Amino acid sequence: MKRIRWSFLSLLFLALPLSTAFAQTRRVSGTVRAESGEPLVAASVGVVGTALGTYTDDQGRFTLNVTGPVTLRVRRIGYTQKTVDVGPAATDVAVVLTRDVLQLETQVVTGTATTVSSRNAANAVAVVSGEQLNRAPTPTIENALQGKIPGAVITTNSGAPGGGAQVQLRGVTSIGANSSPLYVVDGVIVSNDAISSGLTTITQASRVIGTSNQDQQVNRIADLNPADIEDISVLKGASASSIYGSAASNGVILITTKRGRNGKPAFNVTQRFGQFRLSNKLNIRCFTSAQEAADAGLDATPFSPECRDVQEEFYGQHDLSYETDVSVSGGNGGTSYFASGLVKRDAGLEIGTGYNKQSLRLNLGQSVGTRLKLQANTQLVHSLTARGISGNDNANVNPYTVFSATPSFFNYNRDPVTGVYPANPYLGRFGDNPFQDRDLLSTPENVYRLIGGASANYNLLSSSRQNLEVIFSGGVDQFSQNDKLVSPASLYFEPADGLPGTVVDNNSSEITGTLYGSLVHRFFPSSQLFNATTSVGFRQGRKQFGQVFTAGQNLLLGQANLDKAANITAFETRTLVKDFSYYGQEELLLLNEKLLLTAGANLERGSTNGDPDKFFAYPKAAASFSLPWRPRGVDNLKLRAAYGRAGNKPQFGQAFTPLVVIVENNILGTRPALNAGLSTIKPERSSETEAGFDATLFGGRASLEFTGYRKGIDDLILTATRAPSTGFTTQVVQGGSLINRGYEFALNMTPVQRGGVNWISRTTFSHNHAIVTQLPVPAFNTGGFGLGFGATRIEVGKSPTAIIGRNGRDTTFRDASGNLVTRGTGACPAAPTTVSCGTFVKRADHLEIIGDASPRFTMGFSNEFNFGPVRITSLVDWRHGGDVANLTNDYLLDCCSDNQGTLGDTVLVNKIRAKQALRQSRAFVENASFVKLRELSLSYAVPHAFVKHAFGSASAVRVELSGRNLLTKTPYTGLDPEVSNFGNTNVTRYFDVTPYPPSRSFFFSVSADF
Amino acid sequence: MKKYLAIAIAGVALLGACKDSTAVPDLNNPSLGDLTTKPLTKIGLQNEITGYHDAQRASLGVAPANYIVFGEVMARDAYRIDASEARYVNEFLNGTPDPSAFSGAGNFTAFFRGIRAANTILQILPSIPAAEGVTDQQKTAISGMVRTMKAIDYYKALEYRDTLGIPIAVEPPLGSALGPIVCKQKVLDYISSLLDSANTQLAAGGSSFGVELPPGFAGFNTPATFALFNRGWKGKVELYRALDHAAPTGAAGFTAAIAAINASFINTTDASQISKGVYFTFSTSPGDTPNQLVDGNLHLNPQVSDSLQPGDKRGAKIITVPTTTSQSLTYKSNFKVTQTDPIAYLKNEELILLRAQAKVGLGDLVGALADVNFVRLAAGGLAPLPPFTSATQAIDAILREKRYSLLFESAHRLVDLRAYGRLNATFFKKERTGDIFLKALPIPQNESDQRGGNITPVCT
Repeated sequence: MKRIRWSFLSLLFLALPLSTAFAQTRRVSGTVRAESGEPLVAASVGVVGTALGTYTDDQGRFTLNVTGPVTLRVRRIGYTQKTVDVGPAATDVAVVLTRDVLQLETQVVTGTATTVSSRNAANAVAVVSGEQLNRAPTPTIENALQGKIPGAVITTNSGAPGGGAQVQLRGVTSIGANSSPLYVVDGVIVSNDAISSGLTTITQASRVIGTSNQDQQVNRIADLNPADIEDISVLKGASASSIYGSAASNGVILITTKRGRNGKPAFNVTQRFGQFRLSNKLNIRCFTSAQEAADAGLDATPFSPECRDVQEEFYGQHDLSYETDVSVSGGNGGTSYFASGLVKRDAGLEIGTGYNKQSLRLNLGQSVGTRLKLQANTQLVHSLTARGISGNDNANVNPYTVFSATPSFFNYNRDPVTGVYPANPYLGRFGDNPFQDRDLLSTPENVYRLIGGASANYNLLSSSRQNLEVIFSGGVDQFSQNDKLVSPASLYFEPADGLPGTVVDNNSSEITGTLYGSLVHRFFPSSQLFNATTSVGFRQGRKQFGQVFTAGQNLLLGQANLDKAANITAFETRTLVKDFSYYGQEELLLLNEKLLLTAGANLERGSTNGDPDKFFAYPKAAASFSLPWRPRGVDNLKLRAAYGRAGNKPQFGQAFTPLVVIVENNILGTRPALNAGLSTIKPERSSETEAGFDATLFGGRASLEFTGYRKGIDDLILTATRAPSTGFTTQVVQGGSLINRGYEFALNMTPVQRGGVNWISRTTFSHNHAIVTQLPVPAFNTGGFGLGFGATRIEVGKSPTAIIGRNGRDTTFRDASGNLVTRGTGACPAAPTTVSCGTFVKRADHLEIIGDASPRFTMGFSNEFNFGPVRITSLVDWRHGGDVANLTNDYLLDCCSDNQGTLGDTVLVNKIRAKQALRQSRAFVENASFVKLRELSLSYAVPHAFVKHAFGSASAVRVELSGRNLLTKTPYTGLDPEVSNFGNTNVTRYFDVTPYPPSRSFFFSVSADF
Repeated sequence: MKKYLAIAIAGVALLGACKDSTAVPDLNNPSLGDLTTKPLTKIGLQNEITGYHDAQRASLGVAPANYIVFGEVMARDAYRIDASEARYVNEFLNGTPDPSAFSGAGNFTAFFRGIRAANTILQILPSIPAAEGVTDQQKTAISGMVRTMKAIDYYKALEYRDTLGIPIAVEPPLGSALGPIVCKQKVLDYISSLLDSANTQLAAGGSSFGVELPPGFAGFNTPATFALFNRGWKGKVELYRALDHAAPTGAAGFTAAIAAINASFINTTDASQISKGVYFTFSTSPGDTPNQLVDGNLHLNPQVSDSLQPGDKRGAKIITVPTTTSQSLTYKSNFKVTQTDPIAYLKNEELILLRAQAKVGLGDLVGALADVNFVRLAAGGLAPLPPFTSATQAIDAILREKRYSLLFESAHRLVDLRAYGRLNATFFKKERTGDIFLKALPIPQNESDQRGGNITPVCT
């Protein structure tokens, strides 16, 4: 390794020219203003064709030393860039920038330390501004991105407060490896892991005392404060993200938080108040007479002809939700600062559930002299989430499990005199009362998190022709999560396992550390033929996770400490992932900045690979070209193409075949586990090619981005099913490929822009088609609850999210003794039944692909109308296609083939039963297309005169009414087509098992700037 | 100067990063690779043997104990009525367990996991260094013990697949071709010979295994006493070979069964020894497993309590609960069990009744009656029955005693009802129209898929 390292450094020195010439220089000064006359702070002013540049001060002024005639390029976020010719003798320049209404001009990230103007970008990198994110308050950041990014499918897992959502960029990019995109906040890699609470200890969802992927867990990106965000860049695949190596196959989401700018302190206070309301309910049968109940086989004494709406009673909490954001930013001299605070509470629909978050942020920048820039960003956040019980359940404790088996006339309410909650006679001996659970069972999850990063940027060499910067940056994302679930012994369901009372104390902590070093050399030769940016560097990453889980059962009533429980179950899990990479990249801007050529490579090794010392290469190359000639009405037309590779590292432990350690009568034992590992495992390899064009039309009134892509994933990591008779059920295998092909576009328009009236419209569209092209093992099924409800089929030629099930073409029947017979003949059937029809029953149902969990396409329609001080925004999110396995409906069918005792809506039940009778899995696998009105807001800028009068020192005040998820139109018969019982997964996120119901929210906000 | 300083820092950082190796071992579990590549210690051997014993205990099923529950539900002794898992009712009572779900694929993997554990022990056993203090004779004894247990795993797997057969070859490494599914008769032949050769090893195994067995093996934890356990199983296997649907061994089989049982720990003289045997024991201490039959959703078919003879002491296992109808089923009693109650693995009471079955098979109704009456008196405190007048009547009587003697202990009732052709509407009331009587579970979907759908049992 040593030799390679030194050659890197010596190459770098060779790139430095040995002499620098100086000619006669003069000082040019000027001002940059907006059309309104307001000076623009921190606008960048650069001399085209050189490395010279500066920023405007708080008066919008700048000075530069130049030679001869020059062209200045002036840029400022939110404004359209402008180039100004300065004559050979001119010393004063006045520049006026116009607002960039469609936000066409952004800086697009191309590496860990380099960016390029969106005018030249060779990748379709979606950039979403903070203003677009924060139009309607959202529980977590993913909600704020829904419908705004072409190529992204963003789906929430349930309606529970506090988050839980998955971002999939350009299709399914893995089957057995990590499913999350990489999140990077201000250069610091942050964790988006979802740590299970241990809810299964109470619900027995996975029939273990422990944790499970059915714990309705929250992925931790939820901790970020959307109000802190300046912008989000989304690198959708390997062609843009290869610099992040084996963490980048699922795409990278780069979040930049706000920074201060030179000027007086600017304060902002935003106060929001709102409410969440149940937005959809299941149709539960209403019994209107004792006779009807008796006919259904229900004990109806005492019967009161009541049609209680138990869902509204249970999920009807309308407590006040609120959010207070305060921030101050500014700067002077070499210092800039941004500080913010957030206090937030989202009340859940169920009493006792909710989401509380408090966050503090301080971003500090300091220039030391002219060469050194320091920046430190920190966020401290605490969240407290209580989500109650939802999702799969085998203990009959989930509210929807109980409601599906208890008739509408049962009164759950606590007796106000005795304080006793009625026992539920419809669920056997330990029939549960969810209202009792709601009041006595607690599920708090506390997360404390610190994200801190610092960078030092030192200009080693600066001249008009070149500069060389060395950049060191590092950061740590540390959080600890505590889940304390307490289920007292007095709850009706608790004694069912013989151990009344349960407490779970689950402590996890995770530290993600990243260290980068980069050298960036920018070269502007005097010939002005090209600009070259060369960067080389290294990245070192480390992620350490530890979890100590302890559950106590047989818990003394009224106590919550583990030592007050008679039966203790404990386990510990640790992981440590280390990786290291070198990278290098060259960007060339040619032909008067019309042509961009880029090439780069990342060499990486990682500890989760079978060979931790082996380096894997992730190259990339890209080009963009702005056409010098263009049709009428087209301001700019850029063609672009990019290719890149990235990886998806194996998960910790996949390289090992473990032994299970057990205890039997105080003796330790070991035996082979059911899952076998793969000692030669290496990262999945993703290769992406994308090509498209960006057009600016009609004088900046419209823009269109179109991209087509092909993303191939090779060396898939698969947890392949093995024949259970081998003693193993699964084995990690590697091989095979899948391909995503698709296209996406973004159309931005300002159809109306006249005086104080404007209308901005943004449309995003994504279509992706995935297909498995090769497998190292026979086709297999994975996930789910049996083929009757559908399972994921991994098969060559099919989509990786294909759902297999019975199609109802069952050609065999059974006689009275259970023997198989062919219809009408009474004799044993011949093929395709492969077994003789002796004394057993075999299902000969025909299996086939009956659906696909992935949507055919998604579209987002976002509109903004401004009429003077009034602004109306809306966002409609449309998902077409995609199926969900609705097991919740199965609960409402109750048990019986004779239609007795059914509590579901009769029409729906009959429909499902008809399909069930034909043995069709389609009885449960449903179309989950939807159109949702995600956001609607109406805001009003209070007139300046009134502000002065009413708010004193405030400079601007806005009031706003906003709502989220106000309307949903879907053929889906469950609570919400956005659902995943297993949380975030690659190919099995389509199971609906008695989830927390969805809500719509309404907020009133006042925002004041001082 | 500053420039060079910065470069120096960059260089040092790069160097430092390279020195730090990226390798990380498995932080959470020991590895199977270690077991087969490093010489094993005596403690390591003890761990593996305890691990295998635990695998057998775990194969009873974990929350709920499906090895027992499925069989008792299929034999209509029990219902499992669970609002969140209706498949215990609507798949098991109408005969359509889904081979891709826990129901139809159940009671399969756990036994092969056990056999894999057994094979691992047998593979590493010879290579344990003599210095570890495990003698060759002890190795022979341990091999006999492990192979006896392995035979039992095959037998239990076969109980639930019956005529569908099961695979015998578990040894091939992962990824190589799977051995065929073997027909029931040949599997029984294999189990029988495996038990015999294990018995030979136990006989040559000296006085001690040199490793500890679970407390449930108290009285059976030396090679000589473990051999009694081996013979008990041999008798059971021979009985069902004699009753095989396709190629019954008939009288020879019944004779072999009686011979083996007589060579086991059967005792028909001392009533206090009626429960003597090997048990699975449970505990609620940390890391250990409690009795998984503690399950609020498990109820008895009313027939069980209705048919109980007045005064039968075995009725203590049945507790009366309020009559309840749920999922169209009515129940009024439950099985009484606590977290720490043991579950019989093989006990004297069962051996006596198995011998009675074999005697009926040979036409020895008088001998069978004596065995039945001994159990009635010793376990139930009941008066003796009058002489049997027919084999059918004798079998009826034996099955009734077995129901109460072995309630919730195994799949015995499913196996018997099936073997004697009684698992049908003539003997049982259907709960609901459309219900049928399920005789076996299907070959799991994953097993069938990995064999390209070829699951026809091979019988050559």
